[in-house]
Amino acid sequence: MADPTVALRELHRARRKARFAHLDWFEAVYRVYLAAAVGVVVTLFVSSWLGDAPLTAAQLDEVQAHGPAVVGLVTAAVAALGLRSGSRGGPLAMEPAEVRYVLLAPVDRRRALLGHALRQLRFGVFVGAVTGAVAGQLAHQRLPGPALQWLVAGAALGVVLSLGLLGAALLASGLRLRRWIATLAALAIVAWAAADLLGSLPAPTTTVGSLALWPLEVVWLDLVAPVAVVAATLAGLALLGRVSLELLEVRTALVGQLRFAVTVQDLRTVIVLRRQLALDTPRLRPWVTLGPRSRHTAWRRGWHGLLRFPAVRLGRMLTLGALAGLAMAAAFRGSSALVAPAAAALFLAGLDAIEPLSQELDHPDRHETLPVERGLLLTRLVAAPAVALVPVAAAVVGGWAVLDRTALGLAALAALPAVWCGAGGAAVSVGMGAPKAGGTQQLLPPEAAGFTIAIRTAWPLVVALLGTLPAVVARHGAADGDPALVAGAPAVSFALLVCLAVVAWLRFRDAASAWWRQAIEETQQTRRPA
Amino acid sequence: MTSRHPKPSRPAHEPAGAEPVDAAGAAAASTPPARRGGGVLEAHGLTKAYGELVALAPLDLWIGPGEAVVLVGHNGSGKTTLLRMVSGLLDPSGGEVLAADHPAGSAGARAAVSYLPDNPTFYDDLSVWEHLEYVARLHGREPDDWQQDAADLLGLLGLYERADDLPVTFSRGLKQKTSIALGFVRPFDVLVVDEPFVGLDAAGKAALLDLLDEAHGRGAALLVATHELAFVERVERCVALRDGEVIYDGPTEGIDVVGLVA
Repeated sequence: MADPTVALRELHRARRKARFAHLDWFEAVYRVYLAAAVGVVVTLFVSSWLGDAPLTAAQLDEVQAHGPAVVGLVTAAVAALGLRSGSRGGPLAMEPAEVRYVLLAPVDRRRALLGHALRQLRFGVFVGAVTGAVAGQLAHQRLPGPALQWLVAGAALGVVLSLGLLGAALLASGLRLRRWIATLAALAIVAWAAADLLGSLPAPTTTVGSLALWPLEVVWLDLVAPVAVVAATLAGLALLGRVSLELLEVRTALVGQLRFAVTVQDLRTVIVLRRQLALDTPRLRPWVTLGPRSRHTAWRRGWHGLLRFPAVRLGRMLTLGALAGLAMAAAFRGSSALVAPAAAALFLAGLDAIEPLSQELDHPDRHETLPVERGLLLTRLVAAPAVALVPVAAAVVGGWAVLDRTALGLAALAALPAVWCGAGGAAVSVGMGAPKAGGTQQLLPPEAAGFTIAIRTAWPLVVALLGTLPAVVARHGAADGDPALVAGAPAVSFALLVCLAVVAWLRFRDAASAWWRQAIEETQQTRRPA
Repeated sequence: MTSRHPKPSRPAHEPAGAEPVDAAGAAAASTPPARRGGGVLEAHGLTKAYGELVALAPLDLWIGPGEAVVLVGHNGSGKTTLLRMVSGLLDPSGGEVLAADHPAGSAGARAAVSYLPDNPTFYDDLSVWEHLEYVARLHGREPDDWQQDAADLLGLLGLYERADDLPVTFSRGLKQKTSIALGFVRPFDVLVVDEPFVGLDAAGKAALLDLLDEAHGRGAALLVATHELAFVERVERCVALRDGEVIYDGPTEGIDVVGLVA
């Protein structure tokens, strides 16, 4: 009997050669150019945001005191993500045929999977090192110490985080950790790191943060962190052969679709596929069964969907709300830029909440068979998510209260409009859909088309951002001596108007589009010679 | 089609004249399902649940060497779940499956079980012939020992002229034929097949019946999920599933097998 691993090796070599031979070099170089351009723009933006004034002695003390724990919390979050991903079959994603033919053949599965895993690790380490090195350089702008040391420390941190993510996932996958165990372990790790940040219990993840600050102070004990991460990764690689084919097959199919959806900027499809990848699927039975009383069809349809949200999705929405509250409170206290992450968090929570509306938008031809105008139906479908977002608004207030207790009245007033604006941005994003091939953009010069795409991508986030602005507006008003609640009220009213504008857009956009098309056609007809 | 592949030693199939399967496993067909040991395929207390949804209730199954079994059941009855667990693609929620005395999914079981899924997948960049080569060699066939078998399979299935084409570009029926060829080009003790007749034309169905007869004649056990009467009439034993539970396990003779799940 021939050695099947020889066949495996030969085929992989032949396919690699064929792929290399068919590589479109122009396309590859263009992609590298795009990635580099985006990287430079992001770096310049972050750089300008950070400023370049050296920290004062007090600020430096604060960085040394709390910096390691903050980075430790990020490390814990990354490890938690890895554990959760591994319990769902991550991080590997292969071709479906590879699962069907190679992994069902009597070959050494570990050996068959090792190449995939090493490629993924190599890429992760590269991205981590580059991102970390850039972050190190940015840190060098304000922190004392030679640039090279910050560059190396940043790169080391990036590598440790990448390996932490992938190693934890490989280990969890190899150990076939059950999802609830992985979730518990993830929560425990994050809670421990958070406790360290609050000063109550030293956490091992803090040594990673301490490692990142080596240009300020070298602590040799910090080397334990990279050693532990490498050990976990090696253990994960050793257990590769134990990976679950069931999870791998599901993941393999979804990751391929997910990459394609990202390529065509189809956010809705990305969300749906990501949920499937995370096994975040509707409950078989609703949390509460609706009685037969309500006669409002769209309202009932909305709640039928919302009451099937799995616990993990509800938990995520509340967590995003709390994080947005924290960020808004920080913005109120002076860090204006934090309205951006607050808006992003509420946008993501909104994407979850508007699921009943999204389901309708996913099938634009379905309304043709319904005896109700599409805009009217879409407007009615907004009602249930709007009510369902009230607990998320409460989480925003809760998150705000953790950081600031001086303006809880403002928090209570601004929370719901902010959450609705997040959902409004999500509705705009899903309603616009992915850019259509063959649309008017094809007629535009590349520069104009790029600008249009940028506006199209940014617009939903701008809607979400408008909801978080009361935190900043109130701070400026309070600086002039007004109470925060009074100072923020006009901005809250404006946020509510934005929400109404989004609802109006859903209601009348079909009619407006039809009117616009007709106007263009009439113009073209009048221009034609008789 | 280039001349570098061997010519098939038998012509494309003409539907007619296939002999029914010999009822060699008739004694085994009446064997109680709870039997342990000696089977080429055994399931003990096999369960699959997705949260609250039970796809397969605790199931015991014993299939002896050379036995041919048809698996019937309505949509969602658990047929595909059972077959995928036998092949090692699904993790059982409880119980165990043994194939040739090896736990499902282990290297020994993978060598013994050939699984033909109802949704074939292929590499984007491999031709039919390259797929055959790869699968045959992954299952330990010598580089020069599989080619005549592959050519014969393609000839029988009417795919010989398409051997150098990419199966990802094929129609549903041609993909199914390619998948069948891949399932038969490798050695196996148990053939596990999910709805193999769907999408096949008359010649393809007859060719598949031939191949199943041949495998059975060689002593391989068959577990085939299908409602195709032409196959049902050839086998000696039927297992019927409803809502994840076995509602019938016994001889096919004298019963309306399809009616069991209607």
